[in-house]
Amino acid sequence: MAVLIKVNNFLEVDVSIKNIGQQNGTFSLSGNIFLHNTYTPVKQKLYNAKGYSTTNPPPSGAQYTISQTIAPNETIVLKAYSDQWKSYTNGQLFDILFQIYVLETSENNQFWQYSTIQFST
Amino acid sequence: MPVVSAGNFVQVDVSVQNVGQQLGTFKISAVVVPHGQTASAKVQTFYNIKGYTPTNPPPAGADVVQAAAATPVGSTTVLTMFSNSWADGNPLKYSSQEVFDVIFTITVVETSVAFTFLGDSVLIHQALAPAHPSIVNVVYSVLIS
Repeated sequence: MAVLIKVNNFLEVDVSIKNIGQQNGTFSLSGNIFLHNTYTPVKQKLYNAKGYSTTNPPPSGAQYTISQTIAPNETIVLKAYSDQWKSYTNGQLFDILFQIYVLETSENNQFWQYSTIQFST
Repeated sequence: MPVVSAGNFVQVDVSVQNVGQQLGTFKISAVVVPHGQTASAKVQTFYNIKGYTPTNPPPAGADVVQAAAATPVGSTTVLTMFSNSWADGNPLKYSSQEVFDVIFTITVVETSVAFTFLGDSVLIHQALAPAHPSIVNVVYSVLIS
């Protein structure tokens, strides 16, 4: 069931990430939010701090939430926040594309979550 | 080249021939070092029995194996040693597929003369898959502005 969000609110996202490799790893999380079933343009983004908006733009690098070093089989929680939610049509659904970059290997991993957020007037 | 996984033990059988002209009693010690390094950089040691680990440390003197009897001229004796638990059981102690040398020191008891032999690139640490993320859960919360 989608999470309902209203204009001007912020979305907080706690992402639990497990290192399923056999070596230590450092993960960098970023997230882009799209209208459901569209892949462009990006409507909202996730950042490493709450409070960004059109009048309080994020600094460079704020879209990346970087973990500490994660041991094999260890799970950590990375917290990210959307920018201030804009106004959309009532009932609009959104998809999130999480991207997790592994600093040690430069590997980029993408995870989609569909229809997880719904705008409510 | 043998691949060694963390927690396993390496057995080494060293055949030593007496190429001198008198009887000789040989004793041997051996250490494992990262490839290209000297004995002072040892990361593992060979012992006279198998089974030494961080929780079962070797007693003093266990790092030397001596032949039971003097080796006749031209004859060969086999000396067997065992490493301590590889990487102390921790796969991350060494890099994936890291290569190691073994440095043997054979001492002739009768003369106290020591000879060093290098086993170049003879052991390799297990391959470790690189770090890889998996999302196991996502929790969304709405923060009221």
